[in-house]
Amino acid sequence: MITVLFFASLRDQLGSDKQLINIESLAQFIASNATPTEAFNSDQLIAFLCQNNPNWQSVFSEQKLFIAVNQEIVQAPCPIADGDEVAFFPPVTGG
Amino acid sequence: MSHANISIAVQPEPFDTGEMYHQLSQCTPSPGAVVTFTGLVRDLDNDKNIIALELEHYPGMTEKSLQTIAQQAASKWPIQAISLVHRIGHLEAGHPIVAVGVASAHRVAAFNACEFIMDYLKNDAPFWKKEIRTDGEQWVASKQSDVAAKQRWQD
Repeated sequence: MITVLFFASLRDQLGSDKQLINIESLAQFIASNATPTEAFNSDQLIAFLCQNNPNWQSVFSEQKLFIAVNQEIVQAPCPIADGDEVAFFPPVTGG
Repeated sequence: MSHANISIAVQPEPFDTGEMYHQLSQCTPSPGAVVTFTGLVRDLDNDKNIIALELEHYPGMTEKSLQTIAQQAASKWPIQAISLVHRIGHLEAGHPIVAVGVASAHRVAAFNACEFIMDYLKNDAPFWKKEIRTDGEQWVASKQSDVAAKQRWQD
C-alpha cells in the first residue's frame, strides 16, 4: 500500500487529504499504458491518481508542487515503492 | 564542524524567548555570544486586515526538517547550542510564530547560523500559513525573496 498525502491549498483544491493506493492497481494501470516495469515513479503515481479523478489533472499540471517520500523532499520524477508515504504540497510558508 | 546541542520544538503553545536565552547562555563551556530571533504575525498585509493565522504542518516531517536545518548550520559554523521553536495552529495577529536561538564562542557564527536557519526554514520546513481576514480566508503565497535568501548561502 502506498499512502499519498495532500497538504494545504492542494488539499483544498483536490478535496482530499489522503489516498491509499494498492500497489497492484498501480501496476495494472502502468502495464496497460506502457511496457511493464518493476519500479514505479512519481509521474506514474500522479497519472494514476488523475485517472480516478479527471479534474485533478489541471490541479497537478498548473502549479509548482513539492514531493516528499517517507518525509524527505525529493526531486521529481522519483522512484516510488510499496509501503512508501508520498506527500504532495505547495511551496512552504513557515517562519 | 561542531557537536552542537540542538533543541527543536513544534507546538501550539506560546513560547518564552527569555527562557530560551537563559538555556542557551547556560551551556558549557560558557558561550561568548547568544543571538535570538523572533518572528511574529504581522497585523496588516497589503491593507487587508489579518485577524489571525492558521499554521498547518506535516507531523513527523516537520521536526525532522528542522533538525536537519539546525544540523546543517552546526556543520558550517562553530556553534555550541541551537534552540528552535515553531508554533502551529491558531495564531493571533501580533503574537510570535517562531524563535531561533544560537549560542557560540563568538558573534559571527551566532549571527550567521541564526540567519541561515531562518532562510532555510522559510524554504524547506513543511509549514503552511492561512490568513484569517475580515474579508475571508486565503492561503499565503511563498515569496521569491525567500528563495533568493536561501540561494545566497549556496553561492
